[in-house]
Amino acid sequence: MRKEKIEDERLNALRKKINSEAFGILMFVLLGSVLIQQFIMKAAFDQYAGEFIAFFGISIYIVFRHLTLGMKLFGEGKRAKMIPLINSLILAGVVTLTNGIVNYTTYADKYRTDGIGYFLAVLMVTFISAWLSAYLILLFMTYLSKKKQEKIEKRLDMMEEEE
Amino acid sequence: MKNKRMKIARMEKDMKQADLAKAVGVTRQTIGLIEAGDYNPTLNLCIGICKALGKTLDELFWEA
Repeated sequence: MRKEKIEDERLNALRKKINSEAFGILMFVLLGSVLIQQFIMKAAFDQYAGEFIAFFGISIYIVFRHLTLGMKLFGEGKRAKMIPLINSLILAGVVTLTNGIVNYTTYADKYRTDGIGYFLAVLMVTFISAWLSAYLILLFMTYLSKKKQEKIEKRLDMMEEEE
Repeated sequence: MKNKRMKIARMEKDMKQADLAKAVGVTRQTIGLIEAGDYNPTLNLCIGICKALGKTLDELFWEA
């Protein structure tokens, strides 16, 4: 007699949970590795290119899959509308802080003689450009997500009206 | 397989897919996919749908 293959849904769910946790840790480690090599070890790009491509490649894949499956990128509800703005501000803050630390450690002598004005001006320009570019990219992704949602809603409307 | 019983029960309650989705805390897509037979809901979601539509699990989901 042939034995039927039993798929235990609890074990499958646990496996997916473990994989998901491992994925989160992996992404964290990849980003950490890129940042440490870039800013602390001052390594050449070729040294951390693998981690860099893996991290951003996976991130782009996640966005792409969300969009193609018609899932909202920033979740549901009223808060979701604010997420592009909040995320872009946080990202701009992190970029500005990192840039500020790197700039100050590299050009500290020049800032002491020429004044702190240049330093602050660079930080302001960095913050505005980082915020604007991040916000526009997030808005564009939201737009694509919205278009896909509308397409799905239309299909559901047609199915609902059927019969 | 399409879940027509669920669709009929929803229409009897004069609810749109979006209304039922809101009542059970899922997206409209999920309700649409369950009715189309393209998604198997968890037992918890089945119970939520039954409560929202005033039906039993047997009436909506049991296939003899």
